[in-house]
Amino acid sequence: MELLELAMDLAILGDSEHQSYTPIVFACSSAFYGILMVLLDFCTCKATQKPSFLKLSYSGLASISMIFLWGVGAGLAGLLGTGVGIFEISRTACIFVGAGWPVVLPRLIASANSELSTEKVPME
Amino acid sequence: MLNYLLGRRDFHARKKIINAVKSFDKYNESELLDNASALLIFKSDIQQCWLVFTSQRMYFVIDDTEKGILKALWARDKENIIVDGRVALHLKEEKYSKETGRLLFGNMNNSLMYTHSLFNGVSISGAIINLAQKHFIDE
Repeated sequence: MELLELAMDLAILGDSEHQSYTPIVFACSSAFYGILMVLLDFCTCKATQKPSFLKLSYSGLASISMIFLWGVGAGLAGLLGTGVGIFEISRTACIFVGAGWPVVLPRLIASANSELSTEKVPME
Repeated sequence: MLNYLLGRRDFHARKKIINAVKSFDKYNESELLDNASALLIFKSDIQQCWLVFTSQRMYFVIDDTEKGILKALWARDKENIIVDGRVALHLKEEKYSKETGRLLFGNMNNSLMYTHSLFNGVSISGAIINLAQKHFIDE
């Protein structure tokens, strides 16, 4: 519980930098922002009935695990980043990792094959 | 795994694509699905389109992973393709975008999109005519 409290402090509630924040806390905060980012995309996508900005597809219950997985991914990226010293443990860095991870990676995966068509065949 | 992360399922295999024509209203049991051919003509991140040739018809089958749909959208009877013992499709290819082309059927009121990279060095018209000849004339 203490870990989650510290993570929420780093993410929103407390100081943006503090010596009690560890890489694990940073990872949890990054995961929080990662989930928040994908959740926002999900809501926008469903509300406007337009394709996902993050280039993800949300269908059925699988969306829930997918949103969770992107959060976990952002958390792992944060943990790895602080572990090797790329990121300093601060709120700005965890927002950067949490929001940047789901924005950049799906686009990289989706653009892996640039020879595919980008059009959509109508289903009528 | 990558598809799962992007929230998509994998595309169906060729055999399942051929079996999808069974749900089309014009399909009848006399069509020999064991000898059917499927030609992949369009591929995007979320859609694949195939032309399935049976002994009686040419079907257009779409596999949409985003909407989870696999179905034959339209079919053209053999009688409308073969005239005087020859394939009479009058196909015309035109560029639609960098990755995609449009194939116009001269004597039909429809056209379809195809992906250039699936036909590197091969003409899509030639591939369709060859399959039509194989299934509607030679068999």
